Amino acid sequence: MDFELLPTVSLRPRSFNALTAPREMFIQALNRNLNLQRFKVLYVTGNSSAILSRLDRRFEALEIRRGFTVFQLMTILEEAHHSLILIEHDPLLYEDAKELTEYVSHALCDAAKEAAVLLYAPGIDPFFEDLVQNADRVFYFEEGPREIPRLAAKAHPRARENQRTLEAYS
Amino acid sequence: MWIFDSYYKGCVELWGRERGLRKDSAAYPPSFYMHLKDPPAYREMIEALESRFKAEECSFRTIFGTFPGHRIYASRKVAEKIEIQTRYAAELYNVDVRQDQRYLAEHDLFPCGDRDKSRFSPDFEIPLTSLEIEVAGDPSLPGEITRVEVFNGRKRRLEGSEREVLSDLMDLIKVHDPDLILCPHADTWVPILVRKARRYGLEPTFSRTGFFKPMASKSYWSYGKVNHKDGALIPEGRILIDTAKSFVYAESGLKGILMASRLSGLSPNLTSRFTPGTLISSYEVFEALRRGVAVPFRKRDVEGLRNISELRACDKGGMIFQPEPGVYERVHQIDFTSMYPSIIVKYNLSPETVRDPELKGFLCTVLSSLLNLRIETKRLKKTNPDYAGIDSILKWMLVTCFGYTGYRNAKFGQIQVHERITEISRDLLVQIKELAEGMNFQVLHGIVDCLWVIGEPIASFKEAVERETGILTEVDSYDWIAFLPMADGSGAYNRYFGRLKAGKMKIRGVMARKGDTPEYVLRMQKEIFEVLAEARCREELRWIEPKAREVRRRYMDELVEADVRELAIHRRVSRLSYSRRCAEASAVQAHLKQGLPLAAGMEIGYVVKDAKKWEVEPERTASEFDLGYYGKLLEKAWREVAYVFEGSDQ
Repeated sequence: MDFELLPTVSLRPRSFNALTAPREMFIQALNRNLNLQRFKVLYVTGNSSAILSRLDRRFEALEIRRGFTVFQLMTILEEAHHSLILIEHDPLLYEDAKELTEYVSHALCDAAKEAAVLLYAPGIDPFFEDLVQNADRVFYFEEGPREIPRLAAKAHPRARENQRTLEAYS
Repeated sequence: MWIFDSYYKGCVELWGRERGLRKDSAAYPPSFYMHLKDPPAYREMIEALESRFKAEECSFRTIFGTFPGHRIYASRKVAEKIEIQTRYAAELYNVDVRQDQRYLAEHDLFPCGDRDKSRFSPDFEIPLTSLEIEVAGDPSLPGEITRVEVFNGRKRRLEGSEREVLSDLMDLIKVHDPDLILCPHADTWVPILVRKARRYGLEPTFSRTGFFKPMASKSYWSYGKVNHKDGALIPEGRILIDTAKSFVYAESGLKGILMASRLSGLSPNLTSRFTPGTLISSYEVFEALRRGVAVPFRKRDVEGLRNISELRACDKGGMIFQPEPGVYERVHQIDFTSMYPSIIVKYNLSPETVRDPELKGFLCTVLSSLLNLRIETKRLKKTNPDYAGIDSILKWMLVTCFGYTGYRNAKFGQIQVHERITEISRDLLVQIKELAEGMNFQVLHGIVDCLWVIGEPIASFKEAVERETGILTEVDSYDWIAFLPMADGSGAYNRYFGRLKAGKMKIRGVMARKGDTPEYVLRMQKEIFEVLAEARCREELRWIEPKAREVRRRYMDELVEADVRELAIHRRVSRLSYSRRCAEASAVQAHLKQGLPLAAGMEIGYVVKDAKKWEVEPERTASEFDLGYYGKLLEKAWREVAYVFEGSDQ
């Protein structure tokens, strides 16, 4: 069964897909597809994620692993046993390991033998280009024309509360 | 032998003192360990390795257990070829460990100490002969070298033509033959001196062998900042310390450098040039090697699978209780001593214990010795300032050991250890806050590892905290303290100052503490703090207000005649091209225009000439300044301290 992320982006099982799209678009695509949780989904991030903190709170079943080095990413892909693997591309991983993109690309293909794999990046960089060379399908979405920025509203000073006791947040 | 220099040059070379100068060379071929999950799949490669190099089947220990594999007597190049051949399936260990460090570890030796003494003793002799050298001139724009001062018990000035000065200097070094040379900006001057000496046909005697090891300059990111590390020429058989640029020297002096060397197994030439982060990781590597634990070449161990809700719950950082801004009297600040390292040790935290908490963790075991030493030096320095340097480097190493657990390339780090440390610290701060309230103390503020309270007796509270948490604490008692407000009126977490019971001021987060505050502004604020130190309570603060205002007035009045060099703003440049107009962008342009060498991460000094046009001049050539701009800076510095006169009384 295909995973339909966007009307024009459906991910076939056992395929390696790549997507470049504005962050907002990817976040909305995920948040509109809470039913993805019916499947076993692995979300892989790198050193930081611009997506995770903005996912709908109702995303509860999503499993996460973070790869801070290219070797950790390869280990994650090797150990994955999910039906859908979403990978947030982190160019930092390859900055001192440019030659490893080829091996990661193969690891993505290997992972795609068992799962639908989607490598996501908000834009194209040389590492991403190398990584997607073996992809079955690559989807490119460009950002539309920007809206004319509105004048920023003046920040309102935060109301000063008479804090008397100090409570830890939880 | 008291080893003071070591390096690898086909063999391990050790320089030391033992009834005179001694140099030992030891054959020590490089080798590494290899573990393959499916050895039969690589049978041909293994056979080729066995035929071309010495390769023996063995088992070796890692922090995650013992693995079967091979010990291959070959260099890093071979290891990298194995990785490619196996498509990175081969797990390799001890590939990028320094050979001299490994030799010392395997032979139960360590630098800067006698073999039969403990590395962890803060008391050690320094049997080194030394020389101090100072080259006259601007190191950022070096010209002809015509004057050098040499200190060796007595001061000696070498003057004359460049050739004469260099010849005299090289002769002097040869005659004195010191083990240690201290020189401000050595890493800038020595490459120039060596190059010039060779050009004049002189022997560059900085190195005892005539050879040097070059260290490349680089810009790098650390804690969200770009830093720059100068290149260096490291002599053989002699310690050369750049006293102006070495962070470790600035923070902990010679004793700190030597202590770092004892702990990390690196030569003082390296420890004086490395950051505390590199030192703590080198210490962990040295400890691993001494314990027969193999050091992974690549960072493969990955965090476990986690649910998104779990991740949201654990990834929070340190705990903070926001203060109510104001001036408070009779306040106590209770600090945990080395809180994060103490948590690592007490809670047995290490990458391998994340999965198996029953194991005795490697990280906590090796940090335990360091922590005990810090506790001892902290106690000793209270009565003997000689221990301050050692205490300082230990403090820095322990501070960075926490950050290092989350560093992506840390050999013995793991993000889940990092998160567990902050999680425990949050629990502990909440626990002691509740303990304080239970003992009728009023809690004013809390940041990660310290709490500000009002109440008595503080000794009972301190005792209770240590008993409940098992972590040592320190108490600072204030006659009064001011927590400053943020722009929106709520309390700032890290901007406060107050008068300690002993009469000294403790100041955090204000302009006097910031590296980019011009000297003139800094002087004014410091002088006002000296005035504030005279007040023992809020009432007395009111009395001294006119005196503080007088300081402000004097600085404002005299600003017009201020020495322009005192108005220089020093900042680290994060890049060399800016898309928007700002003072840093103009400063970078001005420096480049004058041909001053610049790289990302370097510190520059500039004076603002016209703030409206973002016109600035490099510090070294500045002749005028924007009176209005600096007047505003003085006013800003004044507003910070003047809060005590207008802040709401508590």
